[in-house]
Amino acid sequence: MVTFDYAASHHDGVTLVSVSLRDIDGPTRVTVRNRLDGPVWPPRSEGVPEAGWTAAGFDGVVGPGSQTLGYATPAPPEDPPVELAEAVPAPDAEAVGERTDRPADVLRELGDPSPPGDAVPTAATGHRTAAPTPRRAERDDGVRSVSLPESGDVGPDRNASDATDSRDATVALPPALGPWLAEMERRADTAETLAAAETVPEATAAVRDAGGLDEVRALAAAADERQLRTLAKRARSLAQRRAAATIPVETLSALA
Amino acid sequence: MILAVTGGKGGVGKSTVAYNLAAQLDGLVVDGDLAMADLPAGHGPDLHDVLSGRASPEAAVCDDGPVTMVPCGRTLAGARASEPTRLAETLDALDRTHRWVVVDSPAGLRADVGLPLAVADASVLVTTRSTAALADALRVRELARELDAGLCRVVLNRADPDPATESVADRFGAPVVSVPDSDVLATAQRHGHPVERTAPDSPAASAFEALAAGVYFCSSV
Repeated sequence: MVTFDYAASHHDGVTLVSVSLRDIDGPTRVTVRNRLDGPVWPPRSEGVPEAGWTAAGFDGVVGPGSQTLGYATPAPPEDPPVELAEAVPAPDAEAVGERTDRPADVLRELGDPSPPGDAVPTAATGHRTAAPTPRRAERDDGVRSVSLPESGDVGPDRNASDATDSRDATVALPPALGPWLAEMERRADTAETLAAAETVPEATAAVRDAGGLDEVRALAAAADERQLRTLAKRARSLAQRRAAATIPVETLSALA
Repeated sequence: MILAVTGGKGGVGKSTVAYNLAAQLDGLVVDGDLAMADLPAGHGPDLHDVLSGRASPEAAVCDDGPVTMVPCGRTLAGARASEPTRLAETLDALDRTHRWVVVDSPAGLRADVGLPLAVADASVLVTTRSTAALADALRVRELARELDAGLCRVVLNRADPDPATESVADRFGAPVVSVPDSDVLATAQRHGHPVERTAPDSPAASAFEALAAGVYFCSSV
């Protein structure tokens, strides 16, 4: 039989909940559920939540012996803050925390190899807003917009990762165009966020994220839309010319 | 079969070995150094695009060069947008369509080294004779062992013409292939060519032939 105990303390707007499970006879699958009115902030290693943590709490195999769990939440404390929803023996299961070669375990154990966000040139930060995971999109504060695309360090080796930023990954755009389009995309995102802000806190956050009021004014006055439409028009007419001119490679090589 | 070419220390020739080994096996080489790619760049989508979900693994395969490869992006932004854990599923996907997937791992012992080892069937360790390189290679061998990537061969790179390899083989517990210090090899690598093509009769080319034979042997047991 599992003995379940908990404690909660509140500091600076964050509630810390600790759970102690004792007298676990053998490997047991436990479900510990958060009852406070807020998200569960699980313990993390190298940015990855520890094994077993879910949005609702902890669900995993523990023991035998005793196991301590803990998480944080922005919700105010109540009693009880947490409950033991289930505890069923799972004799053959592998306890959490045992090292495996699953990708998430490897990442927790060895550490994230990604370069720190501060090391990334600001001209290319558009990638992060399009990134697939919260981990990748988590910190956009302090990222300032760059006024013109040409100021980005467009070199010969800023290659396909920028160039393929268009959703059509099978056609690579010329390297010079990629960073500019990424920047345009980032500015469009910022503009949308600013336009969508309805409450004072939202608007304040949107202005701060955009880099301050001066940046917002500059963004509003910028000719992004005209530039993009001109580019689209020229690109369309050039594409039509290319489509109309079929090069008779076979014939020409026969003549040559 | 997924082969992780790794070694711990930087500058010992992991990329050169991975590239030439893939050429010998007629396989696919993946530039797994997410932040500091070394292998030739491609023109289409690259590994950063795959790891950030913008391209499929197959779309990033570039087969117009001398060696079929998945190049890696050169930007820090691309490296930051990449989700490292996707490396495992990406290599698994490539393994389904290619007989040999050779992964050029970065230096160090972080997850970008561990993840290829976790999915690899076997590993090839690259080291030079320097004490620092040997110590780092031993650390990577421990990691490979924990992650079940059996050590297939140790490559003693930039070796003397006739090196005594027994002590190295002894220490690592695996057969050693020595690759001689060679200008033709360095030049070929700089220009993105495997040495079997630029100097097929050179000692370096025969060393990679021997390495490929060793890998064939590992895959058959």
